[in-house]
Amino acid sequence: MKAIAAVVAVLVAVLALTLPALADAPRHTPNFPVNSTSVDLTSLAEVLKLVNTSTLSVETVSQLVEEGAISREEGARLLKALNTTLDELEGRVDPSILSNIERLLNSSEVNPEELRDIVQTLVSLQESGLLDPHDFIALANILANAFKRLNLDVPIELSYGILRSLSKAIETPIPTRGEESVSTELSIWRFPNMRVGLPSIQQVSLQEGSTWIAVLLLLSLTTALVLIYWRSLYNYASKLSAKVGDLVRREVVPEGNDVLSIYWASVRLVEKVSKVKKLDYLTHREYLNSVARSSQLSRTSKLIECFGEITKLYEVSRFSHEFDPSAVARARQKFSELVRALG
Amino acid sequence: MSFIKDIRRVLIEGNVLIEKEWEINMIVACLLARGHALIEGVPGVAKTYTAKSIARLLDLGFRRIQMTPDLLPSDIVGYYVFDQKTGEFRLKKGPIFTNILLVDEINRASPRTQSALLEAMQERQVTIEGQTFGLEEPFMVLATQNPIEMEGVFPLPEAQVDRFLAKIVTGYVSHRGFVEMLKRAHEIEAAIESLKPVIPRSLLLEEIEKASKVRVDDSVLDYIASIVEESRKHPAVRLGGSPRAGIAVLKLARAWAYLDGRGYVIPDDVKAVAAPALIHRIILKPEYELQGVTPERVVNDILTKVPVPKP
Repeated sequence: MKAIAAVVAVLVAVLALTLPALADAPRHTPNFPVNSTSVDLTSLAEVLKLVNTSTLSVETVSQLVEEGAISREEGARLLKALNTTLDELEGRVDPSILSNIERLLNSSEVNPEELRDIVQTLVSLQESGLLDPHDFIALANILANAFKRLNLDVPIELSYGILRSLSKAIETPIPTRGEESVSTELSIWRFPNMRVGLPSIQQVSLQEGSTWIAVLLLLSLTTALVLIYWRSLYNYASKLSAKVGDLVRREVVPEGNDVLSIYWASVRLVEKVSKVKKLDYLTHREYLNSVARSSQLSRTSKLIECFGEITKLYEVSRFSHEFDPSAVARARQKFSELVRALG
Repeated sequence: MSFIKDIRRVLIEGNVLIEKEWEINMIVACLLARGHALIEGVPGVAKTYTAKSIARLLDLGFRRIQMTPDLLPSDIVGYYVFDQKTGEFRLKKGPIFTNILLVDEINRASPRTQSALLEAMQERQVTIEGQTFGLEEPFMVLATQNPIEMEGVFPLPEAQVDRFLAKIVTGYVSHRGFVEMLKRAHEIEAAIESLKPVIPRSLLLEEIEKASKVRVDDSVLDYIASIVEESRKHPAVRLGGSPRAGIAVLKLARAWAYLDGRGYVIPDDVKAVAAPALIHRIILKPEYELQGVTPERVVNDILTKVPVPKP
């Protein structure tokens, strides 16, 4: 088994080295395999169906908006997308990928916990903006299938991630890739903001020598699963998580050295983690309560505690106009703890 | 500032009043804000008990007037009677000369009597036979009205309702609270009678003074103004909040912040008091009223539209 995995790893490494040279344009996700995959918008529909058939109902979208899982704008776009018949888009997932995954899963070499860790890592990458929404959807497709094959519920964060990515995918123009032709399948979706531009990952077909890409994707997944089996992905995941944490920290670093800046930086950070948006009409305490109620954070009470402290310091600083020289230091300390609480 | 904790401890934790914490807080907030409260609730929901308990705990005078259509202004403010022994007219002060005056079923009194009462509330003084008497501080009227009764009542005109700082809508207790209340039914009255003051009157006056000095940031003032202005623009509203309504929100927010132990107002205080301060001042368009829209809903709607101060 170890020998097979080693061979697979070597293959992937060779492909990873050779494929950039084959690429005709830079990818939109840094370090993401420089090639196309077989996933297109039709398989996106499949993903949504696999995750939860009710995901695409008007009620569910409304509920997600109410819960703060997605913003109102995202919800509105999703509702518009619902006008398209999903039945038209079925049956487009590459059967060879599915059968290979199934074989792996049936061999009992993957356990659910490890699979969930992959989801967490994937979601972290997505939230930190490192992973392009189109690519996230492609990967989520594979993972959702894996969960289904194991007769497990698809984690809710994966569902939310797909919805967010879907929303972003709808919103953002598709990255350019040269002169390849535009797939006519795109028109089936009729997304309101979809512009027919240069093709992206999901627009490139598998027909022209892109078997490489399918092989690469399959081999990458195989390698990942083997690595999980060896338990070494734990180390990798923690390192990756730390990296993501660093990136998040860098991204939300307070602009000023005052309690107000620290508070708003904390809000940006908490928004990312909890998926609960700080709506304009919500008071600072109301927002804190919403975050505390968020199921995403039920296990991270340290985060709530730190954010609660920062909120209190903000209120005093903002509304009492009492200058407390130690408040900034305390807020900074809590902010650091908050970032650490994210792991 | 510990007196509110003592009040909560005695009345709520001591199960003297069950599930009435919000009402108690709001009445005390009105008292701290030197305002009067209109309590709306069906009969038998402890309106009188609540007022009486607070008066006892605050070491304040308490009187109750049951309003009837034949009640005269002099029955409230007082009158001169001829003393045959001394051969002089002697002032017989009415029940308004107290600290907390519970006016039961205010809408049963004639407009003339209502008007006399409301003048006293506004001016904090009464004039009897041309002589003016100041009312002792603190002075608060807790008027009750039954939302169901429509016959034989004189609804308060908008201008007079506007004089109440807050409208406190009280209702039934939960099933669990009700059972608890039934268990203690025989002793509640005795428990109220045995209540001892938790703060002397002189200290209470100091607390009122301190509450009036709670700091309000300009952005919070802007927030209050936006809420009140929005109440005039709301599509379901025929008459929205007046400038006096804005002042009421401000006063109550200050008191609410003070009760929470803060020397400054935060947007949460404004949100907490917006409904009690505004609902009795908002008149809905009849078509919306028929659809079941209530002033409470309008205020809630406004609160989910007006942005809180930022950053």
